[in-house]
Formats: sequence, structure tokens, C-alpha cells
Amino acid sequence: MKRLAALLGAGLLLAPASTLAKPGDRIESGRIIAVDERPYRMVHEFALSTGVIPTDAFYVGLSLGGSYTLHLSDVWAWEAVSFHYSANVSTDLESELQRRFQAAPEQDPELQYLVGSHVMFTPFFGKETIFNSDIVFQGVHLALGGGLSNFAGDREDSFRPHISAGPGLRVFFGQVVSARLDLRGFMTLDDVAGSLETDFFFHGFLSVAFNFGKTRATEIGKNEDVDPLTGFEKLDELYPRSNPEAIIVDEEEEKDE
Amino acid sequence: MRMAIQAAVVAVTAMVTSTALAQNESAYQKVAVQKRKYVLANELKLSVGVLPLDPYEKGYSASLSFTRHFNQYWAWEIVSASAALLADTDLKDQLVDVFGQSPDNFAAPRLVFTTGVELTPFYGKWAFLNDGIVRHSFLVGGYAGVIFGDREEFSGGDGPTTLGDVRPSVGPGLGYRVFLSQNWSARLDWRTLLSFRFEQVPEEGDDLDVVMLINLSLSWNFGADV
Repeated sequence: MKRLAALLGAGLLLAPASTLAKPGDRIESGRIIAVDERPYRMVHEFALSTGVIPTDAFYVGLSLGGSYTLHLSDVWAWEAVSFHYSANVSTDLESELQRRFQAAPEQDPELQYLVGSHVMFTPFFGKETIFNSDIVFQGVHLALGGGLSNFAGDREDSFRPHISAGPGLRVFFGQVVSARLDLRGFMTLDDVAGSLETDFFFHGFLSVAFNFGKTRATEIGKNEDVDPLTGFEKLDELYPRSNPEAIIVDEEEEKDE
Repeated sequence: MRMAIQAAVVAVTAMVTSTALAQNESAYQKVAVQKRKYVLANELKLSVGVLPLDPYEKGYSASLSFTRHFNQYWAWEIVSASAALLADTDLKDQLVDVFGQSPDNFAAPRLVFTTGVELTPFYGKWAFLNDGIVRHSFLVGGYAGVIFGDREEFSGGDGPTTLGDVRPSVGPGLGYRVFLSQNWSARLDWRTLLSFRFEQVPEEGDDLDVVMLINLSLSWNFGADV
């Protein structure tokens, strides 16, 4: 009996060392470190957007537009071009001024559309539980760029250069479809009677984005297949034993014949 | 023969042991369920914010609130008190200077007192540049209370006063919280209140204002059983 117990002990000792618990593991028992791969990968992104541009107190712009974004890595992307048309709706301020104060204000030119290009930086990527049940994946990005704003009024139709920046949140629905919420601040420059004046407004927009492609522009040429040729193929023809597969193929071919 | 039996016992024992341990490892690798790292209980919140919608006066606010969290989802913001510092816009200046309007005719929100219920369905974590981890949550809320309109007289006086210009208000809100530690978190809140504004002077008439309040807060959480 003692001998049997000794043998069982020896068996335990001979079990592979990697499968046995170490003293440190006992202290850490129950703690798991899980490192997840990103489940979604953006490459070529086309987005359709609708939003609001509360430009000034007299009118609000309801925007409709789109963009194309080239993703260079998980962190960096280039929103190569974006276009947003602004359908302007008057607030009731003008009528309120008329009603309450008998004042009729002069109207400034109104924003018509925005064209721009932005660099996008996505430092945050993560996942969120919904009522501790489902999981949604998200990314948070910052955009910085510039472009042109078109303003038109009774006496003026002009382009004003702008710089714009702001944060955005993306919620992934799958590899292809995601939704984006962006908030951008715009600073425009306008030449008024020879002096430069700045104006500031916000644009908040919600987008549905469609992602296509597998290989990013920065990865082209990096994942080429390894050349299977060894350079000794001619030698194998002369001495087939150096390549066992070649021998099998030859034998099958002989049987077929 | 005996040697053969002994060798077989050693081999079988080693194989069974290693197989059992390997199965345990694979089971752990499949599913990782984490408990929430931070638990909220009593939250005292200090905020600074803006009230950007009024075309005549922009407000810059300071707020103090207390929230009791019942569980991971539901909380009651028992009270939130905000006071606004108001800055005239060019439009108001023109109306006062050019059109001779009384500054009392504008009366943007000066004080806001609300209570509300908050639901936090979203809790998660973000990797920062695939390195650090930020834990955060999103919440939605419904709030109701009163707003006091800014008048030249705060209380007393012949005309309308701030404490006399009471506007019942109700509306929804969205909030985003970033946990800094078990006791501290930062919040960004966006609330929109519909404010029923009763006539204070004959020309005004009753009105319905939309009051937007955007707050950035530092929250102190205490009393949690962790």
C-alpha cells in the first residue's frame, strides 16, 4: 500500500510542470486577465449624416451630408472629404422682437454648406454593458481639420475659410455598419471692410457609417504570402528523396497512367 | 511484471493529472465575467456649467447636488441647486440702448432647483491607446423643479422680483461619468427643461421657455459597501 502511495506521488511529480499550480497562482486564484482583440476593423468608411447647426439666435440649420474616411490604423484616420448642406429654419426670435419690442433686426448672410477635411485620432476603444446583459463596442475620436463655409444672403454670397475640431463617439453594430455622433466647433474668418472678423458656431451630427475593405493603405505589401519555392526544386527532380511529397505525387501519377 | 505495473500506474496518474488541469485552464480562458470595480452610494456633486439658449442673456452656473444610488441602475438626485451668473448679449444691449427696453423684460433663469430620477443602463471600459483603462457609464434622467427668473429686485420691491418669478419646469437629461477612483468621478450632464413662464408684467404674457443646462462636475461618492 505504501508503495502504491509512493507511486501515485511520483506520478504527480512527473506531471508537466506547466500544468501544475505555482505558489503565486494560489494567491491570485480567481483573478483572470483577459486581453481582447478588437473585433472590428475600419478601412474605407462612407458615412451619411444628419444634424443640427445652431449657428445664431435667428435661425437653426438642419444639416444633411456625408463623408469619406480612410483609416490608416486603429488610432489614426483621415476624413478626406466631408460635405454638409444646411437647410435653415428661422427661430421665433424675429417675430418675438417684433411682437415684444417692435424691433426688426437686419439679417446677416446665412450658412449654406460646409466642405472640409479632417484628421481623426481615436485614442479610446472599449465595450459597454447594457443592463449587464448585452455588449456594445465603441470608439471615441477627436477630429481636427479645416475647409470652407459658404454663406449667402440678400447681398452677399461668399466662402469663408474655417478651422474645426471636436470629439465623436462611434458605436459598432458590426464589421460593416456603425453609428457616429460628432460634435464640432467651427471658427470662420470673414473679411469685413478690410478687417478680419471671426465667427464661431457648432455642428452636431449623427451618422450611419458603412465600412468596406480589409487591407489598409498603410498595410499594402506587408502581408504578402511567403514564397514557397526553396530554390532546390531542380535538385529534387534529380534526387526525389530530398522531397518526400514529390515522391508520392510521382507514384500516384504512375498509378493513374 | 511488477516493474511494468509500477510504470503504468505512474504514467496513468501523470496523464490524468495533466489532463484535468488543462481542462480547467481552457474553461477559464473562455469566459471572463468581471464585477464592477466601482460602486456608487451617496454622491455629492459640485458643478460648473452654462445656460446657452437664451438669446438675450447667457448664463454661467455653479451647482451643488446630492444623489442617492439604490443599485447599479437606479438613483434619485434628491436635490440639485444651481445659481447662474448672467452676461448680456449684444442683442439685449441693443434692445436696451437703442429701443429703450427695460432690462427687467428679459429675465433669464437665475436660480434652478430640481429633483430627478436617474437610470444608468450603460457601464463599460475603454482602452486608452491600448494601454490604460478608463471606466465610465452613461445615464438618462428625468427632472422636475422650479426656475426663478432674473429680475432687478431679488425679493421685495414693487415690481416683479426674482423670488416671485417662479417657473415650474420639467425635462430630460443625459449624463456621462468617468470614474477616477472609488470615491471620485467626473461627470458631464446635459439637461433640457421646459419652463412655464407666467406673466409678470402686462406686456410679457405667459410663455414656454426651453432652458438648456450643460454641467461639468466633480462627484464625491461615499458610504459604499465595497
